[in-house]
Amino acid sequence: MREKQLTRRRFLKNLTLTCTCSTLGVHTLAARHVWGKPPNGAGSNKSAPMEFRTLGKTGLRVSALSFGVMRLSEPAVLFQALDMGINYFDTAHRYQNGNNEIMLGKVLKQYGRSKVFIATKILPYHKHLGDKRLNDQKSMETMMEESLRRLQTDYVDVLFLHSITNPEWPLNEEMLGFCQKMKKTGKARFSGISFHTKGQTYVDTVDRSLETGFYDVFLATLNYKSPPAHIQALKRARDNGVGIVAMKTQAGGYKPEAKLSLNPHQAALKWVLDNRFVDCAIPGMVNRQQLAENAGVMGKKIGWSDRKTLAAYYDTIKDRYCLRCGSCTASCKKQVDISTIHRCLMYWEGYEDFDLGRATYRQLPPTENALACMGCTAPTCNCINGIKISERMRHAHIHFT
Amino acid sequence: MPIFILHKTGPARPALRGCRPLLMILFFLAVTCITPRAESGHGPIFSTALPSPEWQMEGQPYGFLPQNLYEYINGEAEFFIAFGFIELTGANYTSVAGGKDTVTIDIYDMGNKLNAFGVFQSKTGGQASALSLGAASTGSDGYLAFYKDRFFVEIQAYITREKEKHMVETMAASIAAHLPGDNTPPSELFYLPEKNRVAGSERYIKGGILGHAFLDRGMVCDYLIQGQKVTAFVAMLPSPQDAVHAVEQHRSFVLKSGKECLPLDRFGKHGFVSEEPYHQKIMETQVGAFVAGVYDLNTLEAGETLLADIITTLKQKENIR
Repeated sequence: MREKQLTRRRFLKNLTLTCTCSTLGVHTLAARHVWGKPPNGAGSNKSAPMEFRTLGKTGLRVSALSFGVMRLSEPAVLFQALDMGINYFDTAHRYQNGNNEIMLGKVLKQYGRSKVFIATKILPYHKHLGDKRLNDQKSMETMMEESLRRLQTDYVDVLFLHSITNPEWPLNEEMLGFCQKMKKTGKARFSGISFHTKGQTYVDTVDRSLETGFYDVFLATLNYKSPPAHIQALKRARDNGVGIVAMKTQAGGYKPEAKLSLNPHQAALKWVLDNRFVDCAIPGMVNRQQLAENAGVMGKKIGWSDRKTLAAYYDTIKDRYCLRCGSCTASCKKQVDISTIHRCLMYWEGYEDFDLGRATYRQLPPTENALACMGCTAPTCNCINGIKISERMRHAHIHFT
Repeated sequence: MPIFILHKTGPARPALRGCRPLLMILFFLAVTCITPRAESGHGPIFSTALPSPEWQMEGQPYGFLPQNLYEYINGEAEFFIAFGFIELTGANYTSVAGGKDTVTIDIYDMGNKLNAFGVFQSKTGGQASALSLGAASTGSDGYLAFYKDRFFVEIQAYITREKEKHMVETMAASIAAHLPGDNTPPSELFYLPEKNRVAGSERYIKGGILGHAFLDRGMVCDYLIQGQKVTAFVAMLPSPQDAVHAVEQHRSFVLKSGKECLPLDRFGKHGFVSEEPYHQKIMETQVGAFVAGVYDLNTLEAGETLLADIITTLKQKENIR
């Protein structure tokens, strides 16, 4: 074989080629970093490697995208999540009456318990009677034993007192005693509280819990609609070393915009993860598509113009944008296909494609279009996100027929 | 000229500006009148559940709708809402003699039998009990659940006195007897043949069979065939075209996962045999507006017979040619 000689001409040619390619490559990457992918790739689910963050003073290195297992029933989605690098899984003693912990336990035993972090929650009060009957330490311990048995493990990484609704509870002796004992006996490495409360109660819950100096992690509602006082409260907690796990991260959305690199759910999740005081988010996922969509957020940035567009957009659409959660479907006793009709409206108002909206609407059988809404005097339909459904349905019918 | 002219966007017409306060009052009244309230439709039922004079209902029955169910059961509300939850009504009972003894009965209106069945199976994992309440029931002294028609009922009890513990079953029986509807399971349950079925393994999945959004909802059930446990499913799609599309999406998914995909000509032109990631072999085909499949197969022989049975059953039940 003839050996190639490296002449001065060949050396300069190679150097020029290498520099040109590198520069182009770097610029392309930089452009994507700042502006996101080009419009035709909007909402791409191709994910970058998983990002890991330290969960407050616990020192646990958790995946920024973690997994809210609550509604999941298909173990394959968990395996796929593990392969994607997700290492923190959130469940609770009462989810699916214990079946959720059983499924998670089976999967994690097979995968290797030591490679992952498990968080579970114990309800510190009788569900139906609120603070009238707080559970005593012994009954919480019994629930914890049950959880460990279902999860097929000797310990959980984070034990949460589930759904704190009273800011004084984190100071309750039985609850503190329970958490202390679980940590002392090695059944829980760290402890925390979870809360969904609104308004000042949210802030007070954070502040009163911080006073104890005991809790390691807070699991709290956080999304782009969160009031500034809640965000500030979580920042204070993080400054005090408390790990912050965000839940209910995708409580809203907006139409996929050509200018944006992320789709609605991705943007809502990214908004949460862009807050550096958040250590991880646990969106609930029930299928591989949702998993891929959320993982697609990794490594993406929302640019200044994206944020500005988003902020303006949220304001304009919040009363009419359907998140297609499906919760309204069964609420209409006349079986109007509310979700599809909202989609038709989105084609028109969001994508500015009236013809597509009308064509889609006209494909609906007469029994499922909004004709029934026109004379409906006692609508039963309701939207958990506050959309005035009957008004929107009539609006669609008038314009599409 | 019509009084109201609807605009796509933009402010009200100038002609209507003078009427704005009146319109706002009318709108407010209309909204107040039509806003759904969580009033109990089962008030009398709760009164009938009182097992003896020793027990009394605490206050009035309460109610929750999808928009405020979170206030009652926090994050778990998502689970119910995903299954089509419409309304919850419930009541607390206390024992006059028993000090702290309490019973809470919650009745979830899930809209239809299938949704009620789905919630029941997810929450109980198919563990049936010897009780005969509603279409199926499970539980004992502290926790008891059953479903009847479109209702899923959950009873939680905290009873310290041994002789009073049977009260939970008495109360449950009374509720079951007074709820409207029948005690038969949803007809969709019979899409899957009964032969070799593992009792209690039937589930109604919402959100994705095998974790696939394109197989969003359907029935899943385990079978024991020649000592091997396999799982069968029937996904319900809006139309035959959607079913064909779902099979194609699935085929595309397994191919992208690097698995070989072979045609399954015996069961129609859209069927395929492959290997499902994180599972074993799978065979799947389109039948009308359904996608039928069998997975976790060691060998294809067992799957073929079962899939043929499912197709026959589906065709009979849904008159598919």
